[in-house]
Amino acid sequence: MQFIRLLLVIITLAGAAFSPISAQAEEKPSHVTLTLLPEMTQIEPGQPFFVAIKQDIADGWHTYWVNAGDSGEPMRVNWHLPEGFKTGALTWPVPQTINFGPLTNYGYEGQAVILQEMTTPTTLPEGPVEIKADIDILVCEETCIPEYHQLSFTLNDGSNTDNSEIVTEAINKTPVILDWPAKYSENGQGNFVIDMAFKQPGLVTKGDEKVLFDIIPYEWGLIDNTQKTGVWIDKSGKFPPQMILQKKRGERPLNDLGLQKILVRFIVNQERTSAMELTVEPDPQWLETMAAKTETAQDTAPAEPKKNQPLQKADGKTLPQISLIQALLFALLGGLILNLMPCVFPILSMKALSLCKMNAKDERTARLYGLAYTAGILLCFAAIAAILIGLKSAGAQIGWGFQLQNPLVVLGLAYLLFALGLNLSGFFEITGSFTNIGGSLSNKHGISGSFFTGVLATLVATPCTAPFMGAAMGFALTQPEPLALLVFLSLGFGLALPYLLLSFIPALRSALPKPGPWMAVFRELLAFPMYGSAVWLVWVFSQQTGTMALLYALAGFVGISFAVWMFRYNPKEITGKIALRGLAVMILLTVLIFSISAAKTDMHVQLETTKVAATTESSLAPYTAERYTALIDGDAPVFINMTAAWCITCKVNERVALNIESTKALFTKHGVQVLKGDWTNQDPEITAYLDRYGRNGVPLYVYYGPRNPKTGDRPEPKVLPQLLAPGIIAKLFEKDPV
Amino acid sequence: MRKLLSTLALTLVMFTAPALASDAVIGQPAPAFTLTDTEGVSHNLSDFAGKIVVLEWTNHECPYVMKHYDTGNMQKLQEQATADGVIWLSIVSSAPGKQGYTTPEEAKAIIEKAGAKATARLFDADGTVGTAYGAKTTPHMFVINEQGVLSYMGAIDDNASPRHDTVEGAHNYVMAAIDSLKKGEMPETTQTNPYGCGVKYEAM
Repeated sequence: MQFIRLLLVIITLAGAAFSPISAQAEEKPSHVTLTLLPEMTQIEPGQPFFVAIKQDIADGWHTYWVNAGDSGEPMRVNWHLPEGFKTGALTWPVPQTINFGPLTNYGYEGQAVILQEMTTPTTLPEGPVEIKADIDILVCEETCIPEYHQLSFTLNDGSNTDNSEIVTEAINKTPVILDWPAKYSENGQGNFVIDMAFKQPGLVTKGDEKVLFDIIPYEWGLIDNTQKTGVWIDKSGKFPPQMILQKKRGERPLNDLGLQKILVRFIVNQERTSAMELTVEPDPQWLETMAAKTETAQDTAPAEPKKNQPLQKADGKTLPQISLIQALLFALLGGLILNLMPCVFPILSMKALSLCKMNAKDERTARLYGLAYTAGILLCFAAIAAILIGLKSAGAQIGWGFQLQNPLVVLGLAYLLFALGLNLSGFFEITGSFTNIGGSLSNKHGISGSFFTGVLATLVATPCTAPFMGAAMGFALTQPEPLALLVFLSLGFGLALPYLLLSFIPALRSALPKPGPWMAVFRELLAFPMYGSAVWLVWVFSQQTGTMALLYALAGFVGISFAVWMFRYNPKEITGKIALRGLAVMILLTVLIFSISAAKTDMHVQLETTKVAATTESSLAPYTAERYTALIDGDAPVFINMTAAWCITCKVNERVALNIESTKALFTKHGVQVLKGDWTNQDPEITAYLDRYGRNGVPLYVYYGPRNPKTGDRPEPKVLPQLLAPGIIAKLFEKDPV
Repeated sequence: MRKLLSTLALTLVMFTAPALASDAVIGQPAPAFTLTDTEGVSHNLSDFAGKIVVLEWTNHECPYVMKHYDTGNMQKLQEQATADGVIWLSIVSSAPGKQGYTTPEEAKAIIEKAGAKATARLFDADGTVGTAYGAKTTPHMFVINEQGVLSYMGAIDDNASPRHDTVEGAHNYVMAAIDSLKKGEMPETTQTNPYGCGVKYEAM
């Protein structure tokens, strides 16, 4: 028994000594030692894992990358897999450039670890699993030697070797796969040119290092490998900046290559080598000109542009983009919500209640009113959209809510809401006039009255639109004009819809409370949301202008109520009437002139002072593009808060989630740099920033996490919801599971 | 950002490294040359006007070249082609002291030993012609039509392995190109990635 056991030990040892793991080409001296290292030797069924193929290359010798360059050949692996095992593609580390005379190669010196992903079957065979590979590898000094290696490794043999550190280290040496949009073309000097969105300059350098860029395609013949790569950045202030790389083209015609995978390798301070892997597509414009040239030059078939091939998306999030259908739905929904806004609700309520007073036989009239109201709204929206689109295409940096960036418009709306409030309070009645809100429907002006109520509803709705409609409006303004108009009309239709439904469906009307004396009380009650909205607009106005302008504006309210009060008297003698009305009109005009001049003189002074005041707050610097890039290039986390005085959502968010002790403490603890952009008045830099996130309105909150000290990367920026809660902020600082 | 931009601007310097500024373009006249063979006879490309010319960059010590000679494949191709009236020129661009460089006498011995059937073996020790053609590897093949127009350049076949058993079953691009040219057509494949050892040019 003892003897048999001894014999077994001897056999096992002998077997190990001749194990193919250490096998190399025996006859000739080998210049590269290959080792297969499974991520772990103990595996579970269905578990994918990496096998590290480690090349230890003799001094002065080198092996090759996927694209070997001018000569040479990459390692080829032929696996002999047990049933059910599968392999994916090989993952190669970023190659070095190796020059020999006029030839340039891409490969490795010293040591290289190539990774092979392997998947296991759902049922594993009992006991140890041996996996063998035949590896052909060309290793060159100046001369080349092909080597043929036979290797193997064993899984589930009872040992519990963990090579995950080697695998992780190898992964760190592979290129970063990015989905940044990039196009290629050939320029007049015969250069292969890549034009790419350089979304994260910080990924490459913090700015104080010397960086050497190089284009290395995965396929042969695109570039002249021996030439240097030229690089520059488009400084026109676009975001992301465009990075343009060019290198002398290779021997293959470039207009027939379709999508190409390339590396943009960068060597920082001649020591740290890394690379971005991008999928570049041929520039469609360039392809068209090429096709046109070949067509005219000769009879050969023009190169088929592979335009329809979708750009392959790698990992990584893209900015939220919404489709047209989504935008239309959002707009419709937004319009519906607008009906509940404090500025619109009173108007709609009175309008709806007046419908209830109608008899069943007035069915047709009711419908006409509904249609007129809808028409008023749609026309008004179309007009606003047309102005907006017009200004936008004329190059103005504006967005939705732009109306409110003009303090005069703000004040005008405040006056209008105030006047409506007075009307609802019963301070005055407008007889026979088109703006009669709750008036009798039996008068012949009913239809035009409904139309203008629609116009009015739109006007008073605008202050409420901006904060809610950011995404849809932003989308609309980036679309061709007809589509943009469609989104605006959809919003208007949403606003009109409840009343339209009421006017068309008698059953809905009967669901409303029965008319009665309570309606007078209700109407008076509805005046208060109007006053409230007016107060808010006055506050916005004061933010945009200053205290002197505010004084004039408030005096205007007194003037308006005085003028209205005078209008209430209707003296019999015509002279008295004229005098009274004339005086009222004069008062109104005075109010108007004073407000305008006050607003204008005060505006600029105020702007300066707010900027100065804001800069003294160290943790809450005002947003500028320069500050932004400086902070993003740094390491600290950055929080961007885009707001405006007229944006009620922004104010609420600040109150409940941002300007609270817990948030301030969190920001201080994590060293968060906060930039606050105030869009109350026009600011092209802020508009440009909003554009980047597909927005056209405020609020917008974006959090940029701290730079990873190891990789030097920043995580993808997080766009926060438009309605904040303290929990949302706290969540930003929870440790991400790695 | 400013710093980054200025750094990037520094890297903008584009200069030309010593390179294979190849004049060889498919569909264009092949670069002219005059080279001397093992017998001291000089050959000019224009001497072969009206004939199909194959250029084979070679280095008898390169494993990829050996794959085609040790298996007899290259000799067979040379024999077939030359019998068909094709001019086959083997060119050695190895610089003196580099792998593959030989004296005319050594070259004759190599030809005899291998039984090579090329029209001539030419010496390009200073790499002028190799550079003009952008010859990168051994074997790197070029096919020129009767009008002196470059019609094919690249690999000899579609199997880039140095293993000898990969010769059989491989699709030979050179023979396919010759066949097409004989029929008066442009080859279907005009350009492939040449494989093999790098040409042993003089270091620059």
